[in-house]
Parts: sequence; C-alpha cells; structure tokens
Amino acid sequence: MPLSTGHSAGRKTHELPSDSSQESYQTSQFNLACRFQYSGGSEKAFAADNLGVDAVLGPKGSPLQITLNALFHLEEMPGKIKWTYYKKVLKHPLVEQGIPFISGHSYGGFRVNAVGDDFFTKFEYQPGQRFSFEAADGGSGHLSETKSEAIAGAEAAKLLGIKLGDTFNPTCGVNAGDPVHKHDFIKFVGIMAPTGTAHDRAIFIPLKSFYSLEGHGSAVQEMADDEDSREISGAYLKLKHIRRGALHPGIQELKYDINQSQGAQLVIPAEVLPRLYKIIGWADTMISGIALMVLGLSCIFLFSSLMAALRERRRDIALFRCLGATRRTVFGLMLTESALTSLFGALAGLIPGHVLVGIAAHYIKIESGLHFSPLFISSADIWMIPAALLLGILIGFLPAFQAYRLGALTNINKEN
Amino acid sequence: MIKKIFTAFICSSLMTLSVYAHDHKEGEHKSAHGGCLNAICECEVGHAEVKLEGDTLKVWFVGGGSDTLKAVKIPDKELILSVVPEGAAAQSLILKAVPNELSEESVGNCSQFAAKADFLKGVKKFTATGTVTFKGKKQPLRIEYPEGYDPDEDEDHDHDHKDKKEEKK
Repeated sequence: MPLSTGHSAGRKTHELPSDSSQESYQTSQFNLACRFQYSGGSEKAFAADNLGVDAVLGPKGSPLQITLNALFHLEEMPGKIKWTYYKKVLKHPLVEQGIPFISGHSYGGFRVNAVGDDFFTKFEYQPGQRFSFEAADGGSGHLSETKSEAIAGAEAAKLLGIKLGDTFNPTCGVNAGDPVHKHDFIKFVGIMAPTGTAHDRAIFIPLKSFYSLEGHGSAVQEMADDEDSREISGAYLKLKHIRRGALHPGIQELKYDINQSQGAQLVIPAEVLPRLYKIIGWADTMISGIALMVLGLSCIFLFSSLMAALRERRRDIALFRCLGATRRTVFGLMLTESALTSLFGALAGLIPGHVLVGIAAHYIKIESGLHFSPLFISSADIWMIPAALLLGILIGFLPAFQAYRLGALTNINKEN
Repeated sequence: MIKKIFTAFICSSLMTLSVYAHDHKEGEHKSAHGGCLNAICECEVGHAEVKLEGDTLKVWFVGGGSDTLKAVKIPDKELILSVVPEGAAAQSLILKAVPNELSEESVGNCSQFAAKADFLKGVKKFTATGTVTFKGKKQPLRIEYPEGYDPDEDEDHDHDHKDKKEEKK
C-alpha cells in the first residue's frame, strides 16, 4: 500500500491500519446491509401485493389477520361472513366490484382458496394486470370449467411439480395433521403465469367446489345452491376512486357502516399495512441502532489505527520526503489509505450481507411465504458506498494532516 | 467484547424506547363522518356526532372516550331537539331514526337520526338540547355546533370515580 517503502527489510513492515479496524468496519456495513435488505425487502414484499385490492370484506377479528390471509395467503381467517350480507355490500354505490373467496384449505403446504369466477377474468393483481394462462407469459391450460377443476399459481406448480391433468385431494385445514378430503379428486387444468405476488403461491378452485366437497357435510353442501344459508371467508372489493387514483372519501363512512354490523368488517389494506411496518419497525430500529453503534466504534478503531500507523511510520514518511515527496503527496497518501480502508470494509460487509439474506430468504419463504431477494438493491445500499468513502476521508483527515506537518529532518533518525 | 456488545444493545434499546415514547400520543377523538362530537353526560359515556349539510341535520350516536368509531344503538324512534341558531329564536326539530342497512339497524335499534328543516339553511352555529335514551338511561343531550360539547371541560371535573364504585356496592 501507499506508505510501504520497502527500505526496512529485516524490520517489521508497515501495513494497512490494523485488521481489526477493517473487520469492525466490515461488520458494521454487514449489519447495515442486512438491515436495509430486511426493511426494504419486507416493505417490497408486502407493498407489491396489496395493489389491485382496495378493501377486503371480512369477518370480525384482527384486520391484520384478515389482510394477511386474503392478500398474502398467510394466517387463518377469524370467521365467516354471510353471502346475503356480501350481496348487500355489493349494492352500495361506492363498491364497483366484489370477488368472494373461501380460505382454509391446503395442499402440499400451499393454500387452496375457493374463489368466485371473476377472480381470473376481472381481478387486477396490480393496476391493469390480470392473471394470464398464455404460454408466452409462462402460463398454461385454461380456466376451470367444472367444479372439480383447479388452477395452480406459478410457484406452487413449480415447487409441487404440478402438471396439467394431475389430480389432488385438498386438506381440510392449513396445519399439519388436518384431515384430507380423500374422496374428492380435483384436476389441475390451468397454471397461471408468474405474477410476482403471493397468488403465485396458492391453488384456486371454483367457489362451488368448496361447498360440494364430500367431507363438509350436508349443511355446507346445501350452501352450493341455497344462497341464503351460504357463507364465505371474505371478498376482495374494488371501490370507487376519485382523481389521481385516490380512494373516494366516502370509503370511511362505508367502513363505519359495515363495521357496525354483527359479523362483518371492512379492512383497507393501505391502512393496515403501515401498522404492520410499525410493528416490524421495532426490530428495524433495534438493528439500525446496533449497526450504527458498531459503525461508530469502527470509525474510532480506524482513526486510532491510522494514528498508530502514523507514529510507526514517521521515519518512512521522513525518508519519503527526503526522496522528493512533497507534503501534499504524504497528505494524499494518508487520506487515500483511510478512504480505501473504509471503502473495502463497506464492500466486504455488503457482499456477505446480501449472501446472508439469500440464505435466510429460503427459510423465510418456507415459514412465512414472503419472498426476499438477495439481488434486491435498495437505494441505501447504493448510497452506502459513497458514504463509506466520505467517512473514510473524514476519519483520515486528522492523521493525514499530522503526516503533512511531520518534519523530515527531525524524524529521519527516529526509531519506531 | 461482550461488554461492548452489551453496551451497544442497551444503548440501542434506550434509543428505541425514546423513539416510541416520542411517537406515542394519547387517544384522539375521531369522528367517522367528519361531524362535531358532543359528549353525553359527564365522563363521556358516549357522544353524539353532529353534521349539518344544507337543510339536513344528521346525528350519529357513538361510544364514549376514544370509542367514537363504534355506533351505539338507540331505542328511541325519534329525537325532539330544541335548536337555537346563533342570533335567532329557538325552534323545535324532530329527528327521525334512519336505519342503515349495512349496519343492520332498524327503527327502535338505530344509531343514526336525521331531520330536514328550512330554518337550518345557512346556519353556521347553533346549540340544541333534548333528551335521548342512551345505554338504557334517559340522558340529557346538548349539542354545540360546530365546536362540539364536553361537559367535563365546562365544569370542574374533579369528582372521584370511586363514588360510582361505591354506589354499585
């Protein structure tokens, strides 16, 4: 590196500031990289999915639980709502579209949801984007035509090795050990093109299939034809918008009216998800705090290492000066050394940070179904590199200035 | 090293707590329909949310404290209010129960009341008094529009809530 003159053969060589300072710097950047990945990745994982649904009509219970179940195929619905009530909500002038669904079944660890027919033709998983079965998009097959036909999400199909024409027996429940509908064989007739949303990790059957599953008993089977007794888990609602895509202000009154009912509530994911971020924010703040502490300590280590290195190299610097190096050159060399140490520390922390996210993503996906990508680069990641460089320059400024002021003649004969 | 990690953990925990303490606000009273909230009785047993739209006066009965987004159903079929617009004489106004289908209400089990009257047109400020059967008791109702009414602010609200507990005993 810059200040290694090589003249001191036989004596100890002066190298970069101590390894510990670079390691601690690396650790702090690693912490920060993980924190930004966790925070940015989790927000991305949730935010991308709530688009396309303005509100969810669900049973009484936790709004967060309803949002997670309806949009992310996690958790369980806290109850059921009456079909007749759903029909009443559909008549409200602010409600443009409703798609009923029933959750609570699974197959191979993936949720099996019964959905209204409009789900595949009218539901927009993101503004203007509907589910596709086109081969060009990565899909195959067609919509369910009979009640014993199912459609698989792209990821569920890939991970379970589902092919068109395969049959399966849904499990009545979402937990291990729940009973299986042994006599109900449902055939896969379609595989949806990837959407990048949680719907890729689910299997869908027609609404009527749910009521007619053999194990559900006569009371549930009657619901297939008798709408008055029919129950659903909830419904995706598309509501009236005003200019610039904002929800109609009357939504709050609609929400109030529905929430006064005995068995239903209106959940607006755009209101619920920020609360979820707030809960996650606790962990987020903790990780940030620890990362910043380590960063602070690393800066102190780097500074003290540079000062120690300067003391050790006084003779080298003096020799350098005698050989023709100007004060500015010495100043520049010290500053470059500090900046490069900081930069390499940042890079050496960022890379393992992303690698760790890549390893953890697999387990997070299994546990929660959320998708984290190690390739996701947040804006904070990008800013971290120039910030590390700048921090290195700031830390190195004082040692560089000391080197700048070092007298060549007074230090040439000094032993280290 | 362990000491450093422990210190860092304690510091970051304190930082987190201070952030939480800063963010935490006391429960605010929200009105679901953008109207003004008028407390019923002392200690906010409930509220009457009032909104004047042109010549129509709407009243929703909601919960007390910060429970203002929860309707309280009233057995009365109508409310009789004595309305005093600012700078005008008192007028009697009969508000009828307006059951909301989505709230599964019916006349006699309804939280929303409304009335139309020509004298309400252009009124910016008024007070109104009457009575309402609220949570099983006949309670006096006072409305101050558009500021809202809170008897606990009016009088010295320093009575001890222990009195109520003793009464129950």
